Amino acid sequence: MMSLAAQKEKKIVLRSSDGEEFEVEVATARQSKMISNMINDGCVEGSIPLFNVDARTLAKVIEYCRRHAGATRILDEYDNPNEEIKSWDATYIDVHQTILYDILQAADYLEIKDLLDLACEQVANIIRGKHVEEIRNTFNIKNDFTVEEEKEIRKQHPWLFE
Amino acid sequence: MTNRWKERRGEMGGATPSERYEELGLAEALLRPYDYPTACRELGLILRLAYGKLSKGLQSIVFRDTLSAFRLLPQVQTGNGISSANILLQAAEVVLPKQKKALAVSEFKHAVVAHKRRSRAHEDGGSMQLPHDVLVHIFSFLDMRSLVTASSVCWAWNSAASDGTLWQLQYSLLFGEYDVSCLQTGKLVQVKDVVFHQGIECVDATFYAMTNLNWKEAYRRKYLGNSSLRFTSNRASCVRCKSIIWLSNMTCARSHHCHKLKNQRVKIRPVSPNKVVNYLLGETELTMSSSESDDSDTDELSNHGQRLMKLWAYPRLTSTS
Repeated sequence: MMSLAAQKEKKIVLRSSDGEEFEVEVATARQSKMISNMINDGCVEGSIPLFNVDARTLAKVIEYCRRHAGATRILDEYDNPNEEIKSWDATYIDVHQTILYDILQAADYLEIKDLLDLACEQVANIIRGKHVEEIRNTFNIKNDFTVEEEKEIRKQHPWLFE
Repeated sequence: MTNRWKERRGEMGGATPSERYEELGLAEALLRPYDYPTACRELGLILRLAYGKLSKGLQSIVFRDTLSAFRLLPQVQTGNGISSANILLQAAEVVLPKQKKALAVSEFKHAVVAHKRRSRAHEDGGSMQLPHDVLVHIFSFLDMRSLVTASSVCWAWNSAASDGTLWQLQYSLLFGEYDVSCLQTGKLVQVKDVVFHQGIECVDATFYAMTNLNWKEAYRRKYLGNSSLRFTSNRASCVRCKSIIWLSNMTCARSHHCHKLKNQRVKIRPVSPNKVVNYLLGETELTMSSSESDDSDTDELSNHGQRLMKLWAYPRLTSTS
């Protein structure tokens, strides 16, 4: 086990799928459970290749990790993060839909739970309050139900379409 | 009983209409596109039914929020948003004095133009192909109505939105954690949800049925069987602390924090827009109806208590041995 000061000094290099390298502090990298496990197992010599994350997304993810590693997280009485972090998060995640998916998938892959929650909630907010057709348009989803199947599904939820 | 009501009434948030209006959180709700329609409709109803009874100061706050509702319309890209804004406009035209009315109408017209311009610049979303477990995670942030809507989008979403854990959480949010009807056997059995979390294997047929309970079906039946539980908007009241809350703020992943009973789970009931107006005016039928339902629930609980204990004994033993 190295000393705290040494840990602070030490940097880790992450390489995105398109070959760009990012040097990050250990505390920042540890926000990712996947990388944290790799650090514990001692397999972080050289750079860590992340095949599923491109440079644009990785930069954005690192921005999040850096902010959250730096913040001493003061929780309120209900175990929610404090207002300052919350408003930072809200601004951070207010991005175009395509970037949002990239972040979401990266957070899932890198196992950054808080970021995954944040991104999922943001997607949920886009879904909420929309009609089925509006959701399909927004997310570019093809309706793969047959007419009969769709009828059947509507029949299951008469309370929704009444 | 009357004392209890009085007591409860005292706990109900703000003492003045202004405070209660603040508590309703309409101004903030307008900023959330998914709550926009409900907020608009409530605002419209407040204009129609309560505006004349409010103080000058509160009238101007309501007017301010009406204007801001129109200003925010372009951000809400749903058909429901437009029609709600229309309803609000109609109310404003009937109720507001001349000058304010003119202001509101012009604000609305600007908003509609901006809204059309925005919808033309259609956002290219890129297709969303997400793995099942990520979809389930996303859906855990949805309220019940949106969850049902999501299930009719496509097959992948349908399968994710039917996930048992989502409906189990929705169930306990709405019906309370101790109240589980075992529908497969047709018997009412009450279970602590610990059973499900520990995943105890039960030999008894009744218990076997319960651990395999189809939560979505259970939810649907209970919901359909109880008309007082129909949510027609995004509004609900907390049975315990009596405050009116936004249902959309209370999902599986993030529940309402009742200041009154921290360790118990929340119980919620739907609130109609009319009741929201009553709440604002301090005419709180709301308290009475929900406290009644609360009482019946407790009775039910004690009636079944004995049977419950018997049923409990067996699996507990097997789990420890």
